[in-house]
Amino acid sequence: MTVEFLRTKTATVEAVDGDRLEAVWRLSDDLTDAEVRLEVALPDLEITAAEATVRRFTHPGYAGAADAVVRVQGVRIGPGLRKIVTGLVAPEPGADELVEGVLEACNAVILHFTLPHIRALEGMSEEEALAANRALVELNPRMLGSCAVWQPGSPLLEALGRGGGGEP
Amino acid sequence: MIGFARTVTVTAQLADESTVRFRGLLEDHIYAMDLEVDVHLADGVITAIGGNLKRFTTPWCRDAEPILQQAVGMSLRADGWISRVNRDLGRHGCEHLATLLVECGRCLDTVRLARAVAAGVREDPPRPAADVAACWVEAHPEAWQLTPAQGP
Repeated sequence: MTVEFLRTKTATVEAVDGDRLEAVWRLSDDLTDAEVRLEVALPDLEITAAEATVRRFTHPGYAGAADAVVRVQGVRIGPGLRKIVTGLVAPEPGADELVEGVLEACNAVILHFTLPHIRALEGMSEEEALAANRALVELNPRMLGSCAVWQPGSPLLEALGRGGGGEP
Repeated sequence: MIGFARTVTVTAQLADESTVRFRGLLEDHIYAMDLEVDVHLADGVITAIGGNLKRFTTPWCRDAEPILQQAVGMSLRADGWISRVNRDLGRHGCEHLATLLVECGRCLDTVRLARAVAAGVREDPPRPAADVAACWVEAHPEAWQLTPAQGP
């Protein structure tokens, strides 16, 4: 049986130099081919450059939306990002996918910084891994409640002495 | 050199005349997972779902797989369905499996539009695809994600 529709999305993060990252998001499906490119300054994670290119979109409402992506320049990747990006870009008709593109590129930047932590855990003993996870959640309290593993009462939080999710 | 990369693939095929079957695949430097979800075309109700985490970060991540069943009966046309998926299946399960379900669900009306465009161009080859798409979107206000300026 053949498919009616196929969509692929990619998000990549690459260091431009010691002070900047480039995050690129690309969507390609039967109707759409679009790309969002962000430059992110370290260490504040401020978006210093943003552009979108729509090569193919069958619904004409998309055309003006690409120009709106530049408005996210100056925004910092952090709390409230979805609301901020939606407010800046989504008023343009057809901007829905490009808003997601900006957010997914920013999420890739976060995961870019998570990856070394995950790699480090792989070589650790259980005790060392607990200590590393304790340090991680202290550095980034937003981890708490982000998924089942970090919910109050989870085995990991119990092991960390944070069974209720709050301070140990 | 790339420091992190993620790819997401969503395919849609007709399981029968009234049901679209989405398959989602997520692969990145940290996670790998797949999802299969059946959706009733007319009302967007999820009728079946299953997912597998293939690469994950903790011994407890796979406990999130059965939580996906809470999505059965949920309508992809209901107000706030994305928030509900992120909350009930993401924060209380796996946020990346929830992301993959949202990816599949957000394609529902795009699949319908793609089918309409393919049929329209086939039946009337000189007609531009954009014209077929614009007419279809205008005739289907329930597909609000394709016209977000008019959506909720």
